[in-house]
Amino acid sequence: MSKTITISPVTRIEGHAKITIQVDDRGAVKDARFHVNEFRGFEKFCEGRLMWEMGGITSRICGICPTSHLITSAKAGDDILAVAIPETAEKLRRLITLAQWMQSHALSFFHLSSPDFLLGFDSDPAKRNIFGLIVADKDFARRGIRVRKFGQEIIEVLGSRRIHTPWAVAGGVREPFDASRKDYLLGWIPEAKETALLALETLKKIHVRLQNDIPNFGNFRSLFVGLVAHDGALEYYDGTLRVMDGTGNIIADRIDPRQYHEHFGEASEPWSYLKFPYYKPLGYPKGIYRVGPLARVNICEYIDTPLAEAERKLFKAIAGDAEAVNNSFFYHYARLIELLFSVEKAETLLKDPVILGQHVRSKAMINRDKGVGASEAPRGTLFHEYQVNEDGILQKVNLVIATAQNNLAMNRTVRQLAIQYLDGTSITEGMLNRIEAGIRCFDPCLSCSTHAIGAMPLHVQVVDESGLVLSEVRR
Amino acid sequence: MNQILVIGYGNTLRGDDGAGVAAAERIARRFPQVDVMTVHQLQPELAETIAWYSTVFFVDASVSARDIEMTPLAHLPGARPEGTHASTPATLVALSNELYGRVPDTVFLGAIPASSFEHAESFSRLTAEKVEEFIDRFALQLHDLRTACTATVHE
Repeated sequence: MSKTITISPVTRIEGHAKITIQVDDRGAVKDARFHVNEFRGFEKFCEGRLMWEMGGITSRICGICPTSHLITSAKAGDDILAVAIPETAEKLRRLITLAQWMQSHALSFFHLSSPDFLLGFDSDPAKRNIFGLIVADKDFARRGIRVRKFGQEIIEVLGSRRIHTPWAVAGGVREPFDASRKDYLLGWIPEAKETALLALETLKKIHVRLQNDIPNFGNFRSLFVGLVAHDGALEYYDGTLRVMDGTGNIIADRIDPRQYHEHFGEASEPWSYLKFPYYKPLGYPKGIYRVGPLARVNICEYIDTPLAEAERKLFKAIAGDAEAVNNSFFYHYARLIELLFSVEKAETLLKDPVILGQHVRSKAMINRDKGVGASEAPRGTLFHEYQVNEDGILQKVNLVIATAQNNLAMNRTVRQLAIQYLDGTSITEGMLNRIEAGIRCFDPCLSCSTHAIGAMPLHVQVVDESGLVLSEVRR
Repeated sequence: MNQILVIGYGNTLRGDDGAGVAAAERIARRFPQVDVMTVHQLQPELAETIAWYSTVFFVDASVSARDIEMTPLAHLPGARPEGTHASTPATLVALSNELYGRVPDTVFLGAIPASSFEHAESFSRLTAEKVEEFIDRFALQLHDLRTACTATVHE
């Protein structure tokens, strides 16, 4: 008789999800699934609204990466207007995108994942959180909050509001940069850089300590997808799409993000509201791919800041002959490299006199009936596609979210961890923690569209084929 | 910087979930002597922000509240995070205490009854009424705080 183990909800990720693990009579894992139970529905909600409103609307999809939605929405608007935005506006948009990376990556590493690493997967779950981390290393925890705050400060200075700022608009940005705040922001750089470097050193020690666990954390070959700059550099705001396979071969390159739907499809499964994007030439589900930090640092040829580039070379050395790092645990490493990069690059931009320019917006009427925006959100490539009528009223909206693009890979990671750590039907804290930690490698953001619904206890069930609950654990 | 901070939080695209934000925005217009922030959700860096205020009001929509609530938060050093990207008021106060060694003298949890969380930018009838009512309740609480503060000074 086969049985199903359910972990619901998964903790320390954004949104509501559960994991089920189906085992046969001998306790061998037959299947493992990562379910997303909340339906977001923003695409329908947006139809009939004015294209100009989309920045403000879509930035309220998410409390963690609103700026990514704002920027991507503005880029879709640029496409509809068919305008090239002023250089100053592009650099300011780049700066705020880096700030988004900083605050999101810091939250992921310092608050959500570090407790597992520094306190141990098998430590008391009541203490394995930010407070336990404070007890273990107060300075480290405080630094995590500070570097996140730096990202938020940039967003606030540029956009006046930290969250859901309507600052970026089709054609550019609403307001020039307040030059009087430049030195204030530059003043944060040394501390932020030091913190990013400290986090990297800490993570390297973690790699040694967890060397027995790491090989089981979503270690499989898949495609990697993301934007790269025209010269192959790590990209975060613009560029073209590159597809790399798990051996490091570039199998598609210079794909115009406007043509993403020709290369990527979206499958559905009856057991999850989250779509399953895949690379069309390989079909579903063989076209499994990963996006986000691991993909970006894999596919780029270099990083154009010195400290992050030095780290990228160390990162690539992990891959050995494969020339692509396939283990999902190294999302954390790539994330911290990007954290360092975002601080270095922000410093460069803040010192660039172009950001003080006063011409920040190109104005035009509706010139196209369709527009696509793409940028690299903290969790991966984000696409907004809008169809409008001649008055700019939205007829159709499609949002391809980074977390969805990792859906197939997250499911495969869960399965791999379940096979490795599940012992019959007995549910151990260590097994649950590792499966959840496997999901957290991707730092998924499933839905934070409302915060008032739902507490987040850990709920685990073992169920037989008839649905009878055989055992149950609540944390 | 004022001594009193109001943080309204919630998603203004999900119907009643935005009640806390709406209330905070009204407070900002009516009470210039109060600092106001509106956020989608509470996040850890707010621990540093609240540490420097003497009084902090967190204002949120609540599915369990039957009427407006304005409850003082007992400082619980043992408060623990609930495990998501979002923090809670108790978590933030505990973080302030443990990271910065200081907390606001008084923390109030303001709750506005809420029932509809569909995609919408409007409130259910009851929540719309309670948002307005909350402002009056806040004014009373502010008056009480000032009175208490004056009494303390006189002592």
